[in-house]
Amino acid sequence: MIAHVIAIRNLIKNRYRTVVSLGMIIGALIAITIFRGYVLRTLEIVQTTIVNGQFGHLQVAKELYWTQEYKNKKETLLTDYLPIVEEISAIPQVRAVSPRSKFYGLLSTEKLSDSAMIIGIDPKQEPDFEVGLALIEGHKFDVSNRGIMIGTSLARRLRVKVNDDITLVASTLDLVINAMDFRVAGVFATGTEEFDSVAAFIDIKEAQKVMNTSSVDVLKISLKSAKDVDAVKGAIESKLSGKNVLVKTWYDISTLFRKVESFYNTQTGLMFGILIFIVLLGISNTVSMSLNERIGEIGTLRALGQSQMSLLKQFMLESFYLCTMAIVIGVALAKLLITMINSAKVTADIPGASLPILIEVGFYWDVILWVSLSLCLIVNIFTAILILKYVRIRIVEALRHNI
Amino acid sequence: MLELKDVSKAYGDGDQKQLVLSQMNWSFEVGKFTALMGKSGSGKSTVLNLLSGLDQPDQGQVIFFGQNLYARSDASLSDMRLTNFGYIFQSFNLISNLTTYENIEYPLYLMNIKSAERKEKTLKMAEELGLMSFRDKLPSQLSGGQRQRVAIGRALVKKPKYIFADEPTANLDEQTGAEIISLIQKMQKQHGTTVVYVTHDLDIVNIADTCLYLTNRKIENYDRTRHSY
Repeated sequence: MIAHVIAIRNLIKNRYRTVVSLGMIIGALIAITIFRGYVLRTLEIVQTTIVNGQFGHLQVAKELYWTQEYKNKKETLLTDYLPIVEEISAIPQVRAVSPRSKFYGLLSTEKLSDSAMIIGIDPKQEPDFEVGLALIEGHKFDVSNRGIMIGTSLARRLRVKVNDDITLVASTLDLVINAMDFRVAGVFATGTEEFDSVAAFIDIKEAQKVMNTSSVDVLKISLKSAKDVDAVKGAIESKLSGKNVLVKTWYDISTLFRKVESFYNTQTGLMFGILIFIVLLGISNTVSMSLNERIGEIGTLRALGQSQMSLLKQFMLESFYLCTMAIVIGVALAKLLITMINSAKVTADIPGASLPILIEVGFYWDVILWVSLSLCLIVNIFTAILILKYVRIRIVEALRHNI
Repeated sequence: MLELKDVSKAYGDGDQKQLVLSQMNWSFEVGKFTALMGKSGSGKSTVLNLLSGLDQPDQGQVIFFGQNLYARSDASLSDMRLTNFGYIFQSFNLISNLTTYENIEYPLYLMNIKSAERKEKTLKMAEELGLMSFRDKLPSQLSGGQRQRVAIGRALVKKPKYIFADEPTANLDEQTGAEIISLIQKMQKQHGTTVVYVTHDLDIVNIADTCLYLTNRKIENYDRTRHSY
């Protein structure tokens, strides 16, 4: 108990040093928490967009579709896919299974033409389709009207608006030129400029007609919960073993996401390293000053019979209390700042994005735990090394500092 | 039995090296009040530091009940200081952040004595030393005499077998000094403690059981009839 009393009183007595040390640890904790919170929230948003708008949680396709090592596109298509859809739909965690096809064609108005990536989807089976993209104008396309949804940049280039007529020209799987008229049902933006400048969605049945096939490229699978991705993947693989198909998660498919995630993780690591270096510099200064002033006290305590290890533990208590205080204050301040940032609704234009991005920072307890433990561990180890140097001073030499 | 055996001690390095004790041999009687006198710089405090486990000799051994004190590990030597030795410093050396009560209690805390027993012993010691009304005061709020009482309380509360006092009255006025000496003497008589008392004060000759004098880097018995250095 007395050791705790000494520790707390020393922290209070040396207020200035305590505040400086606290400030450094709190500053680092807040900076890393907010940065990591921003990164994770951004990745969450990107993930939602990817899962809902493009890839679903899982996709099933022929192995050749994934490897792209084929002579004829027909080899990559799922021909008899309806039984597979039924089998996958029977898995309890699965919410929807939707066939998709993708091909390239030419979209033409009376005056302009442009190449486009046409994606055939089944809107009834993709209830969250619109969550993954923002409808800039118009509405979800309806099948009876041969609707087409066009990416915002592509629509701008073609100078089309909702209800305009547009013709899709593409070659069938047998390499025969085919054409079909559509009416623009809506203009969308996913936030990714590269996608919005080439993509257009049509109904899967229309896509099959254009391609002159009853097959599809892939089956897009939406789950009730993203946490079940690996479990459902395993279940599908066991159900479809021997059927020459391969199951991939959205994470496997999205190379861009993986690269962005890796880039952000590197940035976080770098930032953490720099901040830790600054904190350690400051802490070494304040701890050394504090220990220098207390050499006499160290001598007295050693003379009273306190061993080096016991003294080390006692001094470490101060470091422990300092870290605990820093975490409590830091977490509270980080939470407050995150709330303020999010409520300010700040948006930013970023390169490659077709829409301004809303800056959102997430508050994650696992990040708080990771940052707090790492900071405290590093600060305490560093402090222990400094303290060890001081508790080894000869007792009589230390006692001279009391005079 | 506490014994110095062929002990030598020097300070400084190279040309600055100064030999303070040379081949010193002496046995200190258990349960007695021994006064250790000598001129400034004669090595009185050095002898006290060597005997009390605070500083090890360059050569020779300090024997405590048949064992070399400095052959022990830091933990063992620290434990020896904690359980057997009490130290009273000239400059009090109280822990500035602890109150009178907490300063006295501290060694008992280090000895892992239970809270209730600690409290009883601490209060009893504070009462014996007339410190009850100052028990919640910090050292900075006490007079020199009061601080030395607290230091004595801290040294005696654990009932050590040996008390080492290094000129404990040097910074006090005559009356307070006399009170402190009488207090140490009273404690020594009550508990049969061995006291090694370093002083310049010749009046101690009348109180001490044994008077020793440090000269020419050696210890010798002090001639009580001489009454001057």
